[in-house]
Amino acid sequence: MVSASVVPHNPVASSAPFTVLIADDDRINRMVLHAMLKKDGHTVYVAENGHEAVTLFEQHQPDLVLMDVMMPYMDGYEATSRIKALTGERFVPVIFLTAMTDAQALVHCVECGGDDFLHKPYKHAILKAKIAALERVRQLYTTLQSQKNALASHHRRLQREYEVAEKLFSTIVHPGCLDAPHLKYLLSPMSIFNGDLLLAARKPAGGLHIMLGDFTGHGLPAAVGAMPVADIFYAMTAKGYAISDIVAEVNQKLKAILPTGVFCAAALLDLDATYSQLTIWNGGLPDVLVCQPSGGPLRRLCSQHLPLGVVDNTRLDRSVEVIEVMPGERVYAYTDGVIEASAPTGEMFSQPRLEVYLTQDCAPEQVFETVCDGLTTFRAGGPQRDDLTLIEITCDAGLANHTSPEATTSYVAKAPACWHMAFALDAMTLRTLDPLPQIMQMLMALQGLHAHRERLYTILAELFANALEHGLLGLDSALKHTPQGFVAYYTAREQSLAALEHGCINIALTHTAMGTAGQLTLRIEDSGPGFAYQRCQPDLAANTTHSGRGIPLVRALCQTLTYHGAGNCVEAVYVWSQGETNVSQHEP
Amino acid sequence: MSYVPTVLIVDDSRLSRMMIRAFITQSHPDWTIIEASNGQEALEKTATQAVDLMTIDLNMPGMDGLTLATQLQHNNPTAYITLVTANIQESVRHRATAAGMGFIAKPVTEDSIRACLSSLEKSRA
Repeated sequence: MVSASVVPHNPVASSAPFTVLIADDDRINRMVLHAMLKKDGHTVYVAENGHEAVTLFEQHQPDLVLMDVMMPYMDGYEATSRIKALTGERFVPVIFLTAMTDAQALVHCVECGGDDFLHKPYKHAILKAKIAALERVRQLYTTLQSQKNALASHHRRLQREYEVAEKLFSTIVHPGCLDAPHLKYLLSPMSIFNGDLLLAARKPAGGLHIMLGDFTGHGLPAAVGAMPVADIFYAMTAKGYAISDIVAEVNQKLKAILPTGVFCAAALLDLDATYSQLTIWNGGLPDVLVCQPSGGPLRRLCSQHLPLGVVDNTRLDRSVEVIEVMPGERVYAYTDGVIEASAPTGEMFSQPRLEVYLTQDCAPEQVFETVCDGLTTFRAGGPQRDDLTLIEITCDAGLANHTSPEATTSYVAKAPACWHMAFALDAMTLRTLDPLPQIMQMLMALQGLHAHRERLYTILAELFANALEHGLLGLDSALKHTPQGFVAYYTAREQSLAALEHGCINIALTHTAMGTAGQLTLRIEDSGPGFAYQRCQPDLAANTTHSGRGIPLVRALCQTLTYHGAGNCVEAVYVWSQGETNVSQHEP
Repeated sequence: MSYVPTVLIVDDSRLSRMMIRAFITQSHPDWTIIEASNGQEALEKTATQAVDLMTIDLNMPGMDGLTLATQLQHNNPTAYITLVTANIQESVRHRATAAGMGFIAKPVTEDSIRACLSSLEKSRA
């Protein structure tokens, strides 16, 4: 009970006057209360019954109500219920005026929304103290309410900013060709922004690049780094760069922009056009798994490198691993979120458990769904502690080629012009640089042949690979026909190239105009011994280079393909016309 | 033959273990490194193996890092123990410092591991 003596010390007791509504059917009571409140400087409204109280409340929105219980027309209980329903977010205390001591009746007052009682006969000091106490509550309530509103509006603004950022983010970090029929994936971010990154893009000469990344942490800070990575990945893939070049570029970027301690564990995968060769760079992601279609033991491609953004490029190991894959084999890449997903007991999903799912006796096309279901069941609705991503790639060139063409910006080819450019690449250049992306870029800049990009890249890539691998390095493509030989071939290629001291390759591109048509002649000459091409035509048909589908394909794409000299010089003629539809073309 | 130290890395995050291992291996490629993803595994793997340096994640499912560190310290009184954590309460810091343990803030960096290794050398000197 507040004692009268403390009231004068309470600053709130003499606080700013406010508006009070008195509801009492007894005229004397009304007069007494009115006089007390007037004396303290409050504005007073008076009602003679409950009904009138509600009406006056609506009109004047008082700060406090003094309410008698027993009144004609509408009693105090009913009037209080109605008034409380009208206050909305405002806190308006109601003090019941009563002579009752019946516990049940007092409980009923509180149930109707009453906040306090004032017992008859009224004492001025007590009324004043009660008003002061309720004013304190009201101020607390108001402060709370305004903080709540501020928080809510802050939250709304943040939400709007998030939505805009999310839109921007998903435009830059778009999923590329992830909807292709031979790809299945699961993305389960913890928040709007994913700290995991999954990108897929078709290579200019067919085949696929995939990048799976996992930034330290999760949410917005983790996702910001994904934007430059996606930019680099898509731009470099489209220009024909190899994954080791992309690794170096991304690493350099992330090392420069990410704060210390933040990095990106990532795997880049490159599947060739025939889906028979997988090239991989794994820096810090869990083992990438390769599963046979018939079950049986799987192959593990474990991380050989530090994540991206940890060391600078001088200390970065960009060497890749190359393996042969069989039709129908499935490749699984995933982030730590999958194997570190925990059951309510704290137990982790773990890689061994994932491998059990992947090698179980089950139709290959159902494995992915079974793994996802297994993961959901294992977690049993428990909290997610990390972003979680899993992708399955089925090595099936037929399925892959069903991919609908990616929307290409409709570039217009430039009017056919006459020009010539030539490159002489010495051994040192060949050891350290892949010249094809640069040549393609210049070709696009000069003639704008974007619609022909895939075909031209294929021709150039095949002929250049032949000149380098067979002409200069003297590798025997027969080696590639067995699985062991395949790896041996690739290893031999790397070793011979690294040791290449002499020799050169000359590439010349000549373009001539023939009305609205253009003719591009590609001439590639190597300093190697050549080969007896007059007698080897049937052999050429079986000669597929490490990077693709070989001479028969090139012959099909070109107007003419002829060998000269000792067989160390080849000339391909490609004809195009301005009238052709400008969409990305696909190999037959 | 010179003595080859043994390091125990306990962390439920595979990536964290990998980074710590990489940073240690960089300067000490010959050291023996044992990894464990939880307290139980750490106790099992060190039951018959003396350890010189331990890095222990503080927040792990199951046994927490401080409880584990205390037990491991009991079994390996001479080991230098470092707790790895993103945020640390004062009370934990006091208890750990009193027990002679060090700290590394998460995320772990090359520099913080280097500092930890030089603390180990000092404690051995």
